[in-house]
Amino acid sequence: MTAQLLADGLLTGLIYGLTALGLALVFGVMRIFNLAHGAFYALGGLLTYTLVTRAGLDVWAALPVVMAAAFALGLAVEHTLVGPVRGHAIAVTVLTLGLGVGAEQVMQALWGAAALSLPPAAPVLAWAGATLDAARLAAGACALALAGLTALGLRTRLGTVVRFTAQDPEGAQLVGINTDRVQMLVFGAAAALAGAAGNLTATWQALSPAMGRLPLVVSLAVVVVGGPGNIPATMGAGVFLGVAAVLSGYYLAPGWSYLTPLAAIVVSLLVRPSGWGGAPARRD
Amino acid sequence: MRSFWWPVWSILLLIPAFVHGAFYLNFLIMAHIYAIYVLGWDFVAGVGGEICGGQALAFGGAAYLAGFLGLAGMSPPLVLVCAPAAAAVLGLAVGLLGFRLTGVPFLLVTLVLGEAAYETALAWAGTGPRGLALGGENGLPVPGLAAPEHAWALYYYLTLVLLALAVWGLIRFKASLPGTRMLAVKSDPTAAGAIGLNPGIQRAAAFGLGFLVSGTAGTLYAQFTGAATPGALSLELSFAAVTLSMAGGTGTLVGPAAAAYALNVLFGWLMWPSYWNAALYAAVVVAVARLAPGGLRLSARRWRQWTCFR
Repeated sequence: MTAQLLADGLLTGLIYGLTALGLALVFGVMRIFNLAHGAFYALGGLLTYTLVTRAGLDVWAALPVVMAAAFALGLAVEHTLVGPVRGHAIAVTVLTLGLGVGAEQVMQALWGAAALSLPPAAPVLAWAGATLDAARLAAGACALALAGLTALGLRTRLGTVVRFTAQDPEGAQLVGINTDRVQMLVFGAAAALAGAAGNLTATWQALSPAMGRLPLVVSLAVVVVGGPGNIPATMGAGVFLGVAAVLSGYYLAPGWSYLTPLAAIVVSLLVRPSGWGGAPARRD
Repeated sequence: MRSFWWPVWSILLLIPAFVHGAFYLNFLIMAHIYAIYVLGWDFVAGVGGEICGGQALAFGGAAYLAGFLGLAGMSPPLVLVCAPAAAAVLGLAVGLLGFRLTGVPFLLVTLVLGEAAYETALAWAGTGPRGLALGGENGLPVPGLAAPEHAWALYYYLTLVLLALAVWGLIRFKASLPGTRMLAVKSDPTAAGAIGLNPGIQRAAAFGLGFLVSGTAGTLYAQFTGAATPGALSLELSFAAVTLSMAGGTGTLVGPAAAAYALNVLFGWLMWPSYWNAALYAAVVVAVARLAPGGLRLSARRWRQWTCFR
């Protein structure tokens, strides 16, 4: 049973890590907590459901469509709502909280409140007492691949511009970088990563408008505890919290899978408000 | 109190004489309760100076405590005193976090505490007298002051009087010396500290008072509906407080209470699915945060400036 739980936690944690990666990118570059990040995750899952059941697409074929839609929506949200108030930390946090709650209600109106599901894939691998299905393994591998692509992307010319903007926005402006556009791009990319994470869980998780809450909380825990950090550290923290959530949910009570990352956020902020590995949270 | 408020209170006092249907009185009573609840958040944010993301902790915490005290055999009138008092103590404890945190980290921690309380209430299960199952979605039974079908007038006037008392009391407090001290800490904590005020203590006191008011609303809600459920601790409820306060003008006290009253009556009349209520709240928050990011308060002057600028 422990092997099954560890395997479930590892694969779930990779998805959390991918979601947290988007949030960490936004926090690293824009110094804001995007509380609407979970809504992009839920949108990814629900849009995949519609593309599979209505348009007859395969889940994997739906992945680029979902990522493109989330990216476009992320760009629009950043350009019209988040970007103009970026300098006001409290306002932008409240605004993204409003966006997250509002998006959940709109998704409830469109897809209903009841949990939806796609047909699960058959188990293909039994090892050391753990049984894993193809979709879950592929989702974990895809999450790792997307994280790797993001890491490689940050090594390109555009990635260097993004890292420079994150380190010194004023300096980047002085050398002619359009930091507003870079931040918009990062916000869109983060939304695309969250949408991809929602897509990857679509065949083995209940799909509902509220499905983004737990990944959001885990991502927040990763960012709050670790700061923007680096990509391997973010994925590692996501896996650690994923395993912790699955184990505590099984051995204590199901509610603990949610309470563990919540406790990590509270304790971390109280003990070390500036974060363990990143820059201090900016005050309004 | 300004003279134009007397006609308003008079109309509110006379409503039960003309409105006999339980349906209408029900949502007027709920409007009173939500107005009291929002007043608590508005005091915390507008006078205490911190944005609390988990105000439902006060509302739901008091509601659950009312349930536990009721199960222990305490009389409902005494519960109406003790549960809000406990909520005030909880508020002091939350406010003491202000010694370590402020701004966005404080907002996040209170948000997370509210979510943790909601999840705990949802996951908790117990057994009451005579094997009664407690906890989960159904929450706890809460003995009422009287059965609602026989006591609409009692609940209507009790909630109205407590609403009037809360509005009057908080406005008076805000204008008093302790209130001025809290406002001084809110506007410039460093300068306030230089003249001998302790920002942490002032914030904790504001939270204690704000939670007392919201806790009173939570107790009344539980006694009126006969149950304390996890919904009383939900993120949506905390978010509603933020929205209604912003819509009415954060820190004005009367404005948020009026907004809560008006919107609850409107929603009761519209009877549309509840997710549209939350969607409308979200739209208001996004609009206010976008148009007035500095003060999170949409004044008529700010609106005119924005429209002229456009």
